[in-house]
Amino acid sequence: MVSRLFKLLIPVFLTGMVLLNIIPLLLLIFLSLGSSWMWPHLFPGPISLSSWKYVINPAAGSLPALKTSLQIALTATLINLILAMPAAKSLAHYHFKGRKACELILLLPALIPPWAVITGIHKTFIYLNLTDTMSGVILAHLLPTLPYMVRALTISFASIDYSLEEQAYLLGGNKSQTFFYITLPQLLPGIAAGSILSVLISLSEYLTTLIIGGGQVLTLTLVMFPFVNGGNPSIGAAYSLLFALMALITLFSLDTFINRYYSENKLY
Amino acid sequence: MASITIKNLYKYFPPSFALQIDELMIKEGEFFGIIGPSGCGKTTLLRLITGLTAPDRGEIWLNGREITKTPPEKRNIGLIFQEPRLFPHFTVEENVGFGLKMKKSRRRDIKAKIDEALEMVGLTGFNRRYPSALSGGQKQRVALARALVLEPKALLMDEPFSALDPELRVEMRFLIKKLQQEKKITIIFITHDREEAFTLFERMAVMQEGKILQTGTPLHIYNQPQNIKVANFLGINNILPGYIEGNYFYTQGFRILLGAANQNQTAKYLLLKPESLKIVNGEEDARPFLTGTIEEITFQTGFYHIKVKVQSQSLNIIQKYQPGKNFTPGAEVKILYHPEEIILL
Amino acid sequence: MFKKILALFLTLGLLTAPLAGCRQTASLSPDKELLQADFSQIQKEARGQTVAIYMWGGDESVNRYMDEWVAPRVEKELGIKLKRVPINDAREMINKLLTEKEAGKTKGSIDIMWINGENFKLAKDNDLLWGPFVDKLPNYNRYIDGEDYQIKYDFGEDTEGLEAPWGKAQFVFIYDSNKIASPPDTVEALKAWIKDNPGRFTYPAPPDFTGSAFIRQILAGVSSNYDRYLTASLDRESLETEITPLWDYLNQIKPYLWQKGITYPENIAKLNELYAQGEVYMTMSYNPNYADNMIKQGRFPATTRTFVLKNGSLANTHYLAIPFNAPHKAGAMAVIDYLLSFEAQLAKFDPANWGDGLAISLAKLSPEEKEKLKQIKPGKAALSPEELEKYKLPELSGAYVDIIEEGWFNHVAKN
Repeated sequence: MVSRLFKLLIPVFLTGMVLLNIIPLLLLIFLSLGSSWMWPHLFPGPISLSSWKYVINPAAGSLPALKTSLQIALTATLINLILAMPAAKSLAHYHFKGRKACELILLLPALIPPWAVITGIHKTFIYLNLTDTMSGVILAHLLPTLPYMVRALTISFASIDYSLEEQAYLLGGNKSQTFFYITLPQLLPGIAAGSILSVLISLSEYLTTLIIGGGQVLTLTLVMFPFVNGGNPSIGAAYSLLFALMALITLFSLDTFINRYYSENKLY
Repeated sequence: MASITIKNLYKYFPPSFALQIDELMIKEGEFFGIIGPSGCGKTTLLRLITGLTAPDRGEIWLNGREITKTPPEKRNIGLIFQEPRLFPHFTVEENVGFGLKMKKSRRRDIKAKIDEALEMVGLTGFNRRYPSALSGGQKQRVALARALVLEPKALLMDEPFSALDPELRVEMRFLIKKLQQEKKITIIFITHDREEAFTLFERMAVMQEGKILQTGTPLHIYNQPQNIKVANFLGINNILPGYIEGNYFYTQGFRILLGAANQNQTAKYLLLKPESLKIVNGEEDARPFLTGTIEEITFQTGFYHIKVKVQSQSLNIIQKYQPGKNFTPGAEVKILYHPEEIILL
Repeated sequence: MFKKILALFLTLGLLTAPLAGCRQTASLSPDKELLQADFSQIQKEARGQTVAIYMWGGDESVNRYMDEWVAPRVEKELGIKLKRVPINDAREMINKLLTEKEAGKTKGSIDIMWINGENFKLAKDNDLLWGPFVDKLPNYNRYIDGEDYQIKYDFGEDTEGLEAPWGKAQFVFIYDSNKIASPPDTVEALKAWIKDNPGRFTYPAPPDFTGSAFIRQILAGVSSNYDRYLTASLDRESLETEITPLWDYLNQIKPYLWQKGITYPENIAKLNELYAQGEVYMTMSYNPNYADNMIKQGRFPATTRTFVLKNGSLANTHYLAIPFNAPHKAGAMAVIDYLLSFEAQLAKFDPANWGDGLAISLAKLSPEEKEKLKQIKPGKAALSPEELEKYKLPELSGAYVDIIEEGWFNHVAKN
């Protein structure tokens, strides 16, 4: 009886979840079309393409901003991967003194609100001559993203079956062969999760990009924010959709890339 | 010349365990066993031979070449663990072909060799399956094929069948014995199972607390254990302390008649194999006997395992089941023994 | 193992390094020569520079005016590449400059910034501005009335030539003529109208810029001596007590507001949505051409019109300033001068572009220029410049803005 009720509830829950995700998206689409759809009106108002025309107009600079966003997010993620690998491996496998403290410190940048430390970071970057440059922004983006990458990889490393590495050595595999054929495939889910988080956080980063980039490094988020934040909700919505599309395409390509790597890594 | 030779091998594990093997020689093509209780260092020995663990000192030689410092991937010694350790993201054929691929063998050769190896272990046609779709026994066969396909110089097996069902275990023993005889592979096989030891091994070593206690054929060791630890491990569990005086060995409360060869020797222990003793109720027999009371009876596949109290000591006796012959706890019985089957230490 | 732990510590170091930061001081070069130089010399130096103008980027018309009208002309006529950097809040620029000043960064990235009011005061008090430079600009000298109170004083703060006026904004009410035949013309009439039409009026809650301006607009209407607030002479407590009539007014209309005054729209965008949907009959803006723009975009009904209160209509001037560490000061001066030219001001005034109020003085225009200005007709929803001019009132002191916003929360919202 209870279980039958439960079975009936599952589609209801699922539909609810889907609606919960779709309704804001629909509202955003209508808003971007210059129309609004507010309670208690049953149908959305008349539509216009003027917001989209503005967003795609070359003078608005959406395309270079989009490119900059992606460049920063992908580079930061790559650096994250390289940095997080040894850190995550140590955290997952070596039980040294102060490991817990290290873990906490590595997580800290994700826990501390950025506005609390941004002035300090800004000053340091000024001394290091990194402000107003793309590399400075990339470096600054490591702060909020690296913790997630380390976390994801640590979990991945902790769940790795090292007996399989031994087995690969016994079958004549050298260190690099063993890493690429045996260890890496086991790490891939963690790499994928960490990369996705890192890309998404970097793409939506506002404050650090603004302060460290000093306005010289214009990402889509920077261009979008004044509109979203009360300026012009319709253009803001169009930008939001563009942003969502960019994030979606990036995630999809990342996923495909990782999957292809996984299947190409088949032996024959 | 021996295929594998170990000299003065020493490995210390803090805080208190050390493996120390002064000398061990395994001949080419030999089915060699290592038997001992868990924690005695058997697995460590195999890991040292394969190179997964580095020794503190000592030498390991393979076919006349010292390999002590050679990394595992260059030794070409196969090792099969208790669990199959298949690569979950590869198919059966990818698992089996892994070693060949690492050696960059020709693709066509790989394919042929995989099929041959799968046929050997009776898994023809399983090429495209993933490990998750295999049973425990099938997985272990794939692991076996994966090791054999590389034609290893030696194949080490660490209790490979202990996780399997009893019937499957017997089947796998049969398979490995057959393969060993056909291919003349040098095998070092670890077990803590006496039955397995007697079925499989040509020669074996009994290990305890990191040391080899005795080496020899299973039968030889069974008949002439060098000390009571070996005897005890092989199932000779009637170990009576005492001394010899004239024709008799005196132990607490009773004496045992010795065969002519053993009389007037010195010994601290007398060992009686449980299957060499015979319980009689009333029948007459010319053999010497002891008298005692049955304490406990268990029945196991055709045999009774009986505990009989003789004076202050308990004797373990294995009797073949015979229809019409019953034993009851508390009954007074005579125990016959052969003075020639007695072991003195 | 140790190698790996070392790698871990390196990562840790990288993460924590930015938190430390050491102090150092550098002397600022005041670019004194530039302030002494001849303007043709400055224009020569400016040629080939890329000038970054940092400005609020949330308005399509403003962005378009800069990107499509100004930028190509500046490039063609002055040989300067203009780069518009959109920002969300002028305070972000001030914070950036404060940190840069503290860190001794002498070469920043902002050449020109668009500011006024409290951000100007903050910048001025912290020596973040370069200059005074306005009297070096030929177009400033030709077209701007530097002694006009509304230009010389920015929310009561003396500009001291540190910022050049760029345009003017004025507070207007927006209504639907289809629903209101004749809009109220005084604060008292407005109150009466609100009471007669319960649920049809509301205003954005401060600190929303427009909502805050509405409250000051009401203050201007209910106080007998508004000029008294143009300079900051009262402390918080006496100001709050003195403007009790303002709190009374707002509390009296409260029960008749949208949602009975229990909640307010959180920003002007929300209020505009309510107006567009016909939930309320009025909205407001600090841009006199806003109604017209919205009609053009099809977001407001075509019957939307604008009105101001005869008690006075608040106006403020917005300015352009050059930060102390602007990398291209000559370029910044040349661009600001261009933005004060008659052509640039006229184009900015044209509702087809932006529709922003003129910073240049009508009295200083030549007859031909006056004629050109007449050609530009305000949109049908907007008021004429004369009508706007008639009721114009200066903004009160910037120091009072925060006090009034907080006072509103304590005296009105909490009740």
